[in-house]
Amino acid sequence: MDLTRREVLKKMGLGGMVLVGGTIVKSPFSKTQLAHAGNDQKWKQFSGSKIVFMSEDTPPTAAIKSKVKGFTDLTGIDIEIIEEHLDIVAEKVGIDVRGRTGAYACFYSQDKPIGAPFYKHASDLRTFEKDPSLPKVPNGVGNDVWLNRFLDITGRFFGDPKIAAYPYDNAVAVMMYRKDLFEKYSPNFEAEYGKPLVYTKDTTWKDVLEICKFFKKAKFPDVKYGIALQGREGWGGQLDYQRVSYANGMWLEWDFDDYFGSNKPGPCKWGDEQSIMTMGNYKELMKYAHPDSLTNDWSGANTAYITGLAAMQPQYGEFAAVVEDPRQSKAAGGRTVYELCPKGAPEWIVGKGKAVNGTNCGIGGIAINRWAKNDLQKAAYLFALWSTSHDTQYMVLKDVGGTPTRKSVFEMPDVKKAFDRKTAPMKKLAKPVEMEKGVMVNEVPLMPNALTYGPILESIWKPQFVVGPKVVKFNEYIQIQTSEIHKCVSGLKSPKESCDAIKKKTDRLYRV
Amino acid sequence: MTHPKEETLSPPLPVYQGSGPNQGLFNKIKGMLPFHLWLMLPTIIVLAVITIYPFIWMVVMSFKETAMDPGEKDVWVGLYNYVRLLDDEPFLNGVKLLVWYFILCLSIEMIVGTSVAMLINNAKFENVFIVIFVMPMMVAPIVVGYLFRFLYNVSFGWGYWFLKSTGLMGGETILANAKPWLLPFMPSTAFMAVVAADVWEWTPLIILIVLAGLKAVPQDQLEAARVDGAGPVRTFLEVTLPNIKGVLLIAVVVRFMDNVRLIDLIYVLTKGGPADTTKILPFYLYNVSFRYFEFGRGAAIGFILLLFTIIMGMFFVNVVFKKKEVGNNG
Repeated sequence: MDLTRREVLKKMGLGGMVLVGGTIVKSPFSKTQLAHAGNDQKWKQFSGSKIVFMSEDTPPTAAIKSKVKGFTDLTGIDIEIIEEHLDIVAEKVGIDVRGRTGAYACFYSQDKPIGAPFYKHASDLRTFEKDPSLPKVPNGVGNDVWLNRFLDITGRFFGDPKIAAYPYDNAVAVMMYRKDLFEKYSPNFEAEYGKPLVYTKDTTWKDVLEICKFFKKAKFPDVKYGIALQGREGWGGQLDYQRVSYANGMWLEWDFDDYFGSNKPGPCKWGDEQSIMTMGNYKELMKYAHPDSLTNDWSGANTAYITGLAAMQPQYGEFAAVVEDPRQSKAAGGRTVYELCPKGAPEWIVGKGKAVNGTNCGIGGIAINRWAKNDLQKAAYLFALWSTSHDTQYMVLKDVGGTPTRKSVFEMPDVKKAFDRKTAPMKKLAKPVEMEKGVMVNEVPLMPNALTYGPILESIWKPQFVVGPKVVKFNEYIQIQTSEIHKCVSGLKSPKESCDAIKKKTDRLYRV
Repeated sequence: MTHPKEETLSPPLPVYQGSGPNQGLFNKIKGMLPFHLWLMLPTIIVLAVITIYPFIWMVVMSFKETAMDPGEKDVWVGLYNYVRLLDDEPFLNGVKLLVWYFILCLSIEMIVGTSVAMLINNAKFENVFIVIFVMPMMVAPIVVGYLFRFLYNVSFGWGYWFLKSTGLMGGETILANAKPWLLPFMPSTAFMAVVAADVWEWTPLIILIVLAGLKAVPQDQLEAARVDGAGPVRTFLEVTLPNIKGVLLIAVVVRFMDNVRLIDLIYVLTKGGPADTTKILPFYLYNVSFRYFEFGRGAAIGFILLLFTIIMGMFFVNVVFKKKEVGNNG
């Protein structure tokens, strides 16, 4: 690639811009003048400015990045969107806010790993909402425009009334499974287990274990394992385990409101009978899951699923775009069905705990860095408004990578149609794809992620929805948890020993 | 006949006495250091600022519990951050794994690197071999991590396929395998997988260093050994090895310094898992400092790691210089 002198200077300039969080061109109008100006003028008040947005490398961000010209056209603001893996985002944002440098005027604030530790370094968005010199978006940004309590999840922490971030994207777990394989091998399954091989919203984790045992033992040529799990150390592993633990008895580590979380959680419940039973059952699941499940995160599990090695995967809705792409996925072409996550099994529950379709999530927010200069913060707020507006979320959804957080997007007629594969609008591929020998696919859903919205909209309510644990020191807590889970799954410790170790280390972490 | 140097000796330059009232002070200051050190002083000051100041700050931080939230202040906790490490399972595990990592990586790299260097030394296409063998070293460590992650992948990695089909690997997975490799006291299979990636990347460095050392082995000693009827093994042990020992020790020091800073391979391949079996101390330090943001605790771990590095470095250097002195005196 030939780099012109102009391009080199531009890249150097953008690089330098990161160091200072951007450059601001102040509005020629006073605040009073702007307060009486039209919305268009309010959007354009920082025209010529440059801001930096640090984000996780999610499909929604990739889609927004591809459409960011719309924001520049609206505001005249140039925005540099930096995409990194979530761990790196947390690291860089943490260093930036701890150093009070304000290098990223706005940053991606995933509710637990970034929001919980750093929310105090985010500006209170209510300040901008009340500022008459700043524009408004249609429908506004109040509680009721977002999906169920998503603003609480991303924006409110530990009883603090401040709003730290707007809901920017949603990653809610669903079960994806290969209906074609289930239908094909149902007779074999029925011969062994006396019931057909089906997956419904009433399928329990115990049923899933049976399915996994069946597939692993059978060694079919077109699928080797029943399920691909995401046990990798860190947040992926914590979420993977939580789907099982919450489904069985609605077990939580602590008993506080998990929408707001707690900065003094107190003694945890690890080590109780339910936790020990679930640990043992999770170990059993891992034994029959795809062998890399302990080292895979969401991407690794998805790879196992789309390459046809696993018949099921609990996965986040945004991955439907890849699953439905026949150029990458053997699970495309209508083979995949999306359903709620499995339910708890009565035999796996101690006492009178309830069995639910345990569904968890990572709701990403967009936060404004309080250490950036005031006017840079306002310019960044314009981006936060734009990127979470109805029009942008709808546009991004149609561009393959969307996971909207506004209710109004889900109420659009074409989006509603896209929930169901039978009515979903399709788009023709430039060239038909031979997914495997003799199987040609020439069209794909226009909004593949929307295929997951039916189960998602059903599952984001209590009792099945679990959003915590929103705690300070979340990142260290999940390391403790997943490290001990690994030791149990690997046979190095018993379920009781692992749970007791988590209890001891977690209580020590929170000074109990 | 006069010495050539005496003939060309130019008369001494007159010493400028100066006439100002401060010239005496100026000369006094100037005389404090040799001239060449005065020239180096600006660079030394810059280096001191960017190394000594952070070091002092790190030590101070290790005695504090650092605050993350605005408005909160760091709390002085004395030796608490150090004392708690005695009871910190990941720390103790990290130390043990670091020692294993160093021993395994170094021994394999030294044996393989020295052997390859011996084979290609003075070979017909030596330069071509050097280019080929050095290539892995040119790849960024994070890229090596991703490369091996793909190779080890159960779904499509040919490295996994090769190990499985040749029977070299038991178990169904490599990177998720926390079971000891071969023997009960050995580290896990996942750990050995990381070692393999490290060996692949850094053996070329040993090859280069040893090759340079082999070029300096006196040919007359090798000829004499050949004439005396010594075989290749005897020649290597009695002639080559004593001559390249200094170079080998330098290679050991360099690789040791690299190992105590390793986080990139672990980050990409295993993130310290499964079951903490690849969480060597530098990676744990990274987690504590930049994932948990416990800078005080991280500084304490960093300081201990630094002490360990200095002690080991001094040990190696003393061995090298001791050998040199013995060589000179002998």
